[in-house]
Amino acid sequence: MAPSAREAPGFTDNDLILRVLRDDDRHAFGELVRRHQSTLRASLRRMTQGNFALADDIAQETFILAWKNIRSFRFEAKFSTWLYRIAFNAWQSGARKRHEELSDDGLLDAPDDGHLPADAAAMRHDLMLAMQGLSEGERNAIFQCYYNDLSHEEAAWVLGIPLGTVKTHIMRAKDKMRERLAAYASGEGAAA
Amino acid sequence: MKPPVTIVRDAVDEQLKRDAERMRANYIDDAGFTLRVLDALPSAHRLTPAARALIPLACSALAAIGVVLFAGGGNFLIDAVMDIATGSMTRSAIGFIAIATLFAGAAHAIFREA
Repeated sequence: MAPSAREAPGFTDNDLILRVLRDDDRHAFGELVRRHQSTLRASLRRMTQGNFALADDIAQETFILAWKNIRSFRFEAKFSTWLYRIAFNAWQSGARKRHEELSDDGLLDAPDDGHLPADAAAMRHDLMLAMQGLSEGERNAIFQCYYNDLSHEEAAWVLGIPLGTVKTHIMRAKDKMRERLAAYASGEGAAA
Repeated sequence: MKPPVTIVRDAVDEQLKRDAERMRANYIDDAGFTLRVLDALPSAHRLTPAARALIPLACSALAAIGVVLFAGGGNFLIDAVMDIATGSMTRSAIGFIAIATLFAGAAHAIFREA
């Protein structure tokens, strides 16, 4: 008899997905959740501008949607990339409703990733401020490519936009951020 | 002679990478999250693989029984097609549509399983 997913943590994501597909194995799905919860929740905490409760709600919704739609997973993308796509769509679908709830300076409330040295905290602060000047598309592209560590191709798939658009967004976003960060460094409009 | 390679430092790129690495390195403790997700999963009312396999078989069997019942004189298919073509909703036409629907359902179920 094959060991259950709980007894065999050495299984790959694809092995676990196959178990879920074949046997509706909740333990296997639980192992997938355990493996990916930290990265997904961290990613969503950034997307929601530090709103931990909202991030966890979206993360939970993402995993439930993944469970419901696991038969549509085609093994062409990594499971984590597929999760990011579901999470992005879940976040987008509720973003308009939540828009009014988020304050304009919400980006400054990015979650604290542990105790940062003063210079790193200042760098984070400036980075968040610089990101505020980006369009939504630019911010999403930067987010997927840097914070979710996706290739341009994967980011295009997650965001549902053409590859060329992702590359343009990244280029423009970095240009804008470079200008802003240079301005902060020279003291103009410094991050207060 | 090849021109010297100039490496241009992209400060924004480096800052973003550093910040992203810090974010990813900071493990978020599960603290019951996985259990909450598993509790919230819809109940397993999905059919077992065996039950799923029975659906196309049952549809095909019903369709076959229908063919036997409706094909009294052996001209059932021709009669039905002619009736549908002329727009008359006879017993044959209705039977043909029902059987065709069952076959389509079976084919769809088989295709999904594949």
